[in-house]
Amino acid sequence: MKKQVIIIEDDEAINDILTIMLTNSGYSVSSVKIGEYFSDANAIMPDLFLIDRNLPGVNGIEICKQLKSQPHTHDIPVIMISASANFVEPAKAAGADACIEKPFSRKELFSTIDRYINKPNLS
Amino acid sequence: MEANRNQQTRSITGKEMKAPFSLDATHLRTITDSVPQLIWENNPQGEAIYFNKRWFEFSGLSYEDSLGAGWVVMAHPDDDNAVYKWRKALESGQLFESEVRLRKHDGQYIWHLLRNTPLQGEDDEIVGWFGTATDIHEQKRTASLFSETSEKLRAIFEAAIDFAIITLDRNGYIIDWNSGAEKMFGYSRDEAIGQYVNLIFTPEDIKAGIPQIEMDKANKTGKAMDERWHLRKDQTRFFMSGVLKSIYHSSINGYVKVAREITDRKLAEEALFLSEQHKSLAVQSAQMGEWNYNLSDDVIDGDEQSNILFGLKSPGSKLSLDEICKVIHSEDRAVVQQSLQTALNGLNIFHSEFRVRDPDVKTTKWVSVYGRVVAHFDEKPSKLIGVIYDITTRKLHEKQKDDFISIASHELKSPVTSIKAYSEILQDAFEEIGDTEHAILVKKLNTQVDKLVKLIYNLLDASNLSELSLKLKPQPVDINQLIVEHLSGFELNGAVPRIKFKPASVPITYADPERISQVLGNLITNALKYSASDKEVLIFTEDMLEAVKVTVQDFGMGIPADAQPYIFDRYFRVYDENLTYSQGLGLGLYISAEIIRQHFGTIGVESTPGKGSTFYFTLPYS
Repeated sequence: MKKQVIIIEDDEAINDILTIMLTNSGYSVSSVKIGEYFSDANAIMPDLFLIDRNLPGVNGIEICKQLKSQPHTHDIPVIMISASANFVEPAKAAGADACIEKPFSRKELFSTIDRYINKPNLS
Repeated sequence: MEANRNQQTRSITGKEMKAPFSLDATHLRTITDSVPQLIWENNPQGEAIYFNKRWFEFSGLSYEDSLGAGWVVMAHPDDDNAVYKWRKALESGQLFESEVRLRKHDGQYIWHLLRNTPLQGEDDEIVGWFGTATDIHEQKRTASLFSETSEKLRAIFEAAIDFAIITLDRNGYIIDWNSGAEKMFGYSRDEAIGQYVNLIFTPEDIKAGIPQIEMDKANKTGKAMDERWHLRKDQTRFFMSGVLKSIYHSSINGYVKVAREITDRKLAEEALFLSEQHKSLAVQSAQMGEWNYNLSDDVIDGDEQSNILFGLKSPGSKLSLDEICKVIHSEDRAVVQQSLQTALNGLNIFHSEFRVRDPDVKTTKWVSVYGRVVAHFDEKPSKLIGVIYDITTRKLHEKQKDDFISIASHELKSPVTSIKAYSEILQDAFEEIGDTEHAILVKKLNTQVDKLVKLIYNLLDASNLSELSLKLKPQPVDINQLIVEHLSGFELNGAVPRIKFKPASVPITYADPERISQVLGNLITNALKYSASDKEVLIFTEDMLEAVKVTVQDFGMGIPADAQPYIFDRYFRVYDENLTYSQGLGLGLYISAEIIRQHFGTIGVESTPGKGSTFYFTLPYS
């Protein structure tokens, strides 16, 4: 069973490359629009959320807070991504498990992800 | 009576004499005995035969001793010329008159005016002589004193070579001209005397009638000031300061001008005036305020503009340093105080940019304050003077620029992230299929992306620093260990053999290790970059008692002297026509300097072009 990662990122280029890297590494990746995710009763419960801090019209930190406040998503690890170095403290305060600052290397991305979910089965 | 009057004014004829003598000899004797002069009578041969009472009182001689020679026996030995003249008069029958010193009964010689008038008979033959001696001793003494004083004055007149003393007659013609005037105007005394006073005036002053105006004023008020440019013989001009005085005297009736040259003073005054005007213009046009700070009484005294900029309500109010500090934004206060302390501790120059808040309107403005220690007392600074000006608009523009750089840098981060990730995937892919050639190319691409990432971080740092928003995370740091750890990073590119580290035993300091590491990185990278690959780079630490000093020395191309003062400025790059070392944005040293400044340390460089540079920084232990 592949580990499921949900990417909430409005930047298509980042979304694409995250998808490629995670897929190549054996993860199942879903990219969602945030409004849709919260309104979908049958939404997938992933193994990890990757959330960009700056999303159009909404603050990624607020989404993190919302996920961490709901019982069914409370225990799912959240990794926040941002181009700003000053987002770590508010992200941690909102319950984010880890933060990655852009631009990041593949090594940095996976070492962070690996801390929260077991290495996926590549089969 | 008629005869007596005539006797005083002209020679006496025999007819005229006959009447009084024959009239009443007793009466005449009474008259001659009552006058203060010595009176005597000589026979036609000049022998004295009669003397009045005053004669005997004065001379102390008896009648017998007086007979014959008469006054000649009393005459001063040096006045033998008068005796000779008297003998001549006897021969010619002419009136005799001479000034002679006659010996008084007490031996004292007294100046007298002697007159011997021939008395003529009916046939105009000389029948005798009528002689008088009038005491003129006081007159002679006064005249002698006057002569002596005049000589002294003349000596002063000539000795005053730095003063022109010019005497004019009532019509303005030069009648005297001292050596000072000769020196000042270039005309000799002979050339000047007889010339009209216009000689020394400029054509424009002559046209304006200044010489006459001066004389008119001196006539009315006694004197006229003369402070103007004058003309020399060689037509050069000089500035003269003096006075023209009107004088009325028996010997002179005209004017005296006493003046001296003050061209140097005048030019200095004009230069000072111009300098003041320029300064005033600069201060006004820049809307600067001026202030001075007396340390002895702790009073800051500013002009109106200065008070407005410091946010003070009442113009002219004098405040203490503490009171001024209260209006400084709390976040800037420590930096301002530190900067002032550094100036007072010997730097002597104070410069700080800070925010001032206006509590009434709740606005904040940025000001730049420059000051300089201008006086010391007891070897301590006693006075600072300076200027203050509003830099709110500049700061706003800088902030807009920084914001722009910050936003642009952030926006660059996302595409750079993608490029980096794609290149890493490509590199993996090429390596998996064994295409080493392309894998190396993509690796090089990755290296360039890393440089781009570093650039973005530098830009972000620079924009953050200008907002004083660098957040330090200080902790106890062993600076030697930090350097060793940092150098391990250079092992990768093979630079370590060139680097020689000589640590000294230094106490633990309190600093942000990540930021200090950034400073070390900048200094060491520069040292490696700007010196030949076979040259060493020395790093050493020193215990400076209150701070640790870290030095990075290279033996490379060095920095031109004119560039050294700006080497830590933002965006400053050393211009080199070969473009061999002008790469980058000029931010590395600026960021390093800001990091050290925010640690309350110092940073500097000593460099000799062609020989190398020595960069150093200090970090206080406390």
